[in-house]
Amino acid sequence: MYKLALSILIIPIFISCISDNKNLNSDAHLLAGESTVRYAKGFDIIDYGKFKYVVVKDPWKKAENLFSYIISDHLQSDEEIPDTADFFVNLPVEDVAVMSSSGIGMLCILDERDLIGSATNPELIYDSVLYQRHKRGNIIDLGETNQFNIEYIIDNSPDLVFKYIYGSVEAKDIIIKNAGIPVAYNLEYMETHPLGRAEWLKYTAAFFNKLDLADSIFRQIEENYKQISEPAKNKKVKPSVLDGSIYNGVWYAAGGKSYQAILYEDAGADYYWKDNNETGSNAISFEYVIENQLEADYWIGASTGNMAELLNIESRYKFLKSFRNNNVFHYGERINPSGGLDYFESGVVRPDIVLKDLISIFHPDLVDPGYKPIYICRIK
Amino acid sequence: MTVKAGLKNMVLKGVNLSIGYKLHGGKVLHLQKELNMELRAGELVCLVGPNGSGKSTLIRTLAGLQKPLSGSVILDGYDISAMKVPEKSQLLGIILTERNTVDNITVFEIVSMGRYNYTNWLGTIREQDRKKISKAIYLVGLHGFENRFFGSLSDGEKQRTFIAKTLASEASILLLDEPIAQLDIPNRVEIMTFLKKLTHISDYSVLVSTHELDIALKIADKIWLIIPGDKMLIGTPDEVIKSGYLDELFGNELISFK
Amino acid sequence: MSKKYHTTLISLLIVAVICLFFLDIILGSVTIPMRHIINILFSRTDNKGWEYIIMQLRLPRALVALFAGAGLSVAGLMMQTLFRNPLAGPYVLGISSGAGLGVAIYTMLSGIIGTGAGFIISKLNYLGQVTSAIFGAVVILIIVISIVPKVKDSVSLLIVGIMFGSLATAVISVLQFFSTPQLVQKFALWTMGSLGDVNWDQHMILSIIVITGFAVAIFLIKPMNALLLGESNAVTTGIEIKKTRYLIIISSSLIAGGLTAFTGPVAFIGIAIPHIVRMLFNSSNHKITIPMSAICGAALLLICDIISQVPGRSIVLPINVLTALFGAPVVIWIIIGKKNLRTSF
Repeated sequence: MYKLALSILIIPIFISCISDNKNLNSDAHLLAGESTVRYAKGFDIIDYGKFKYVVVKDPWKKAENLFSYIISDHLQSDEEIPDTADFFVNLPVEDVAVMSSSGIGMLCILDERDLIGSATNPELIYDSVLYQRHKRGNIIDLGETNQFNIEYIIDNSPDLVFKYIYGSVEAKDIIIKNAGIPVAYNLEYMETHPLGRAEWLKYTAAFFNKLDLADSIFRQIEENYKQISEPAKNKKVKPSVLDGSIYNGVWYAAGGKSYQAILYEDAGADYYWKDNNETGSNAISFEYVIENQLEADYWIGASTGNMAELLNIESRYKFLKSFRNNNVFHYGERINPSGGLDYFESGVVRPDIVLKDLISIFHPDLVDPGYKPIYICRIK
Repeated sequence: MTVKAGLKNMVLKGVNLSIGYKLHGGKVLHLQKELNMELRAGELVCLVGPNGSGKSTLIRTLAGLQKPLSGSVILDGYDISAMKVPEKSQLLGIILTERNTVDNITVFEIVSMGRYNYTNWLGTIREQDRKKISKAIYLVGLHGFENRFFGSLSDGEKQRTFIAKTLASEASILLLDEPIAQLDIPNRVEIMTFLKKLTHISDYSVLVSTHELDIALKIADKIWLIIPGDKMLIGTPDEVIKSGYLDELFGNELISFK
Repeated sequence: MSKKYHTTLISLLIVAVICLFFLDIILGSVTIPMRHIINILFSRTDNKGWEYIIMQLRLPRALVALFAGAGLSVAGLMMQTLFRNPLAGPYVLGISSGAGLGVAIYTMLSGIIGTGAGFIISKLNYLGQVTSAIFGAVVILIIVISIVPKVKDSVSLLIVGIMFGSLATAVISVLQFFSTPQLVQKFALWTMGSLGDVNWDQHMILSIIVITGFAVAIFLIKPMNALLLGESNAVTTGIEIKKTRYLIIISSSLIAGGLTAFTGPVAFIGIAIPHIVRMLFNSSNHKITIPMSAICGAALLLICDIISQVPGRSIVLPINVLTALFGAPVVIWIIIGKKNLRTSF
């Protein structure tokens, strides 16, 4: 059990960010109050005028709502506010602690990176501006994401914490909540559509009064996504795809109803698990992979960026056709010196780019001849 | 001997005892069948018999540690199987061959265990307990050894510590399984003589199983001789010698008892 | 060993625990000046953040260290007496693995069917984890108990315990196939042990469990002393062996399982401390070893906790790493240093 624990801890928690989103920021012209959530199933924003009521729904579907937030800049004497919310967030939020890579990605796109005062594993941040700030020692290091230093958080007392949650609330979360620090949970990873994940940008924006900006950015992303997926989806010849990698002896492959499966479909590929009903991942044995996907054309999502290293992990990878033909890819095109991947940072909000990257692999004829993928790279 | 005295004297009694073990699969291993015996006050009885004849099993059965296959054990007029552990241990002092005692426990601590049924929930030793413990330690000749650790004692001293423990418990019936097996010859004689003395000075009843036939024949008031495949022979040492069974059973080991 | 030596030692140890307890509150990642700590503890302060760190983080954590150190040591001592085995302890015998398996099943199922449900249900959530840990611990202990008569020597029992550990690990590996990497990781973190995850509400449950187990332990002092004579000798002395055995099992797995549920498995404290106490006091008498194991265990875990916080740094070391650093050498010392393992404790 000890060994298991150690080996899992070694798996790095990737945190990173994109900085070139100027083209998206420029054409913000949306009307206020038009913010409606269309793809994401995990949250909702209700505008009551004086305050915004944000609900995070339970993706495990046991109870209706997991968390609720009341966000306002004039909360002090208001009797109309429903007292059912888990968190009350007073605007403006000026100091943010980030414990999720997607949180960093979203804040960067919303151009709020200056508010990040502390982060877990700051050395894994990809965003160059934040990374430089970390290098200069201007971001408080909260320790490991999984074993963050709670005393630092309390002492630092940020206005808001962005954090992942898996299955259930952790004991430390209760301590943070009781200290009066609101926690904005990142549950976009439970979304089943890539655009649903990106739409959580609106959720993040709600905490900074930037819903209009988020809306316009998202519309642009959505448009890009649809535009590029159209011709790819209509392709007759669809290359087969092997997804995932071995973690702790188990091969985890994206489920048929997961956002990855949708990306593969929208990129005009034939994904083995497309008829599967799993929204998360399928845990399978390597034997099963060998039996069913030995001849897959492409392998997407390998765990490292080096063929030799992959063989070290599992020498039998060499039997895979995709491996023999050098058609193995991983999301390490943008990687920082400590190994932080931008794919987990800005990639969450840019499914249009991820899709384009995938199409450039499956159907190179559909992208500009000189297109260089942003997130994905061929493993050498 | 009057009837009344006889009743009083019969402190431990086996009635139609069959001893042995229930094995897996419903099989039963009979060691001895339908034994009848009684232990009287002031009597030193030696239980002898060839190895594997069931001496230890008989002691354990008489002590109520093991159920007889059939028949019953009567202790002080009551069926032993119906008695509670504390009741039994106030009447019966049992010393088994098990030596699984920790080393760093003192002689005093072990002997004070004899007061187990008299002390409170925490086992606090009161003045009257302390007197009984000291007396027991004195009787077995371990005076001055009170704070010695069990691990530092010789085998004879260890045996005496346990005898002192049963004496401190005020039990008047002592059952000892092979108490002298591990000891050297002077210690064997000394322990047996001490047990004999106990039966004289205060009406203790003592049952000792042993394979030291010569000592048993010299010291015992009565011999219980287990004859494999037959009934038990009960009698004075003289009667047992005259029966001729000893030659038959132990002929190889001993020259002659006639 | 003289009475005076004992009294001196006992008072020294009690003073040490009190000092370590306060040291554990004083030292932490965030440096808080002494003057402020005294203000926070005895009156009020203007620095809310520091007050919260002391009152809601360090104080409960120090209390958990106190309870867990004391509880695990007493549970370990009871198991060593029951099994007549110097290598027995909640961790070595697989009791913690059992608790771990219970929690693994619970954690991984919770991720699939979901027990998320926010902060309202999170308290129930913890009860579920505690119950599953205790249940797992009891199941393993009952299995071990049923195996004990068949394996008489300590090494075999040790191997049985290690086997249970591997078995639990194996079952957990199988469970991975029905879970997500995140939940596997979440469980793995639990196995590293943490004293800081207990808030005041959960403290209630934890203290009730440990104090109940402890009360039973005190009532078992007399029969456990008799057990030192060996089991047959104990029976002839007058203890009701079945009742005693079950009470030991119930109270030790209540303590070990309950604590493990809240803190994760904390290794080696339970096995090492009783030996240190027997050595310090040169006695196996439970009237001494029960309370002194509690005190020494609390002291050691407080020391480990102080170190694990790495005062002044952002790193927090897993508590299990430190208890292993202290405990493993003691276990090695027991194995190579004692002539006769069966009777030397």
